[in-house]
Amino acid sequence: MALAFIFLMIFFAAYFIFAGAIIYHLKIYAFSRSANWMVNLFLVVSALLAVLAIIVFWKINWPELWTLYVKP
Amino acid sequence: MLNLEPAEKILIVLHHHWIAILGPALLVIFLALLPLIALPFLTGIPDASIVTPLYLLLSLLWWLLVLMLGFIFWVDYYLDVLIITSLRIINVDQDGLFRREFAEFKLDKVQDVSIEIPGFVATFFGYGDVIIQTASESNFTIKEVPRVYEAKNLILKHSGAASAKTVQGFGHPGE
Repeated sequence: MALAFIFLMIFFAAYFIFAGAIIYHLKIYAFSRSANWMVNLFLVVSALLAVLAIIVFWKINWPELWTLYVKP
Repeated sequence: MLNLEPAEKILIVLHHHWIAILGPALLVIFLALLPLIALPFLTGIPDASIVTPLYLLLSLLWWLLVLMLGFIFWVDYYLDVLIITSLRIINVDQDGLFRREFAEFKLDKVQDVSIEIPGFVATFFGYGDVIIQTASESNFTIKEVPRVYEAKNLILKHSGAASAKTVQGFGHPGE
């Protein structure tokens, strides 16, 4: 479970660093303020999905999953 | 970023027509629906109560990746832009995520502007290609832009004014 959590955190870190790079690039070159609306939508939906993923992660019965599929 | 001269005004900013992003948008929707297609098969397996949360977690991570892909498509679409100012035409071509091509020329160099409506779909949705011929006889094509007639009229009107100013600046030979 700890290993899975580390993988999840690495995934989120990589995801949000990459998203930050794209948004930074967009903020430099965007020609109108309508880009802000899309950036906010992207950030809100991705944050929502990330929070849901963390909640679901804690709902998983990792020891049982481990005994069922990895080490029967 | 765009630096305007003191007397320069932005006349119109044109992005590609929304039809240009329709294909990528459909791909994103299809990819987002993939986890839901497999969901009915999951209920039939034994230990579904243990596997389902894991499947949901993987689906959420998949949707995050699909959302990122959609955002990248949109950035590529949004940063492709044609800007017509009172003095020049600027075409920014976003190629991929971080690569950009930036082309600009003065309006007084414009010799001819033509528009091309490529087919029925373009006629129906009101977009087309703007082809600008400059004094260097090189053609400059901007594809799939909306409001082509407005863009053409603006370019012709302001290129005429810019050329007249240039000629006045030289004066008459006898003066």
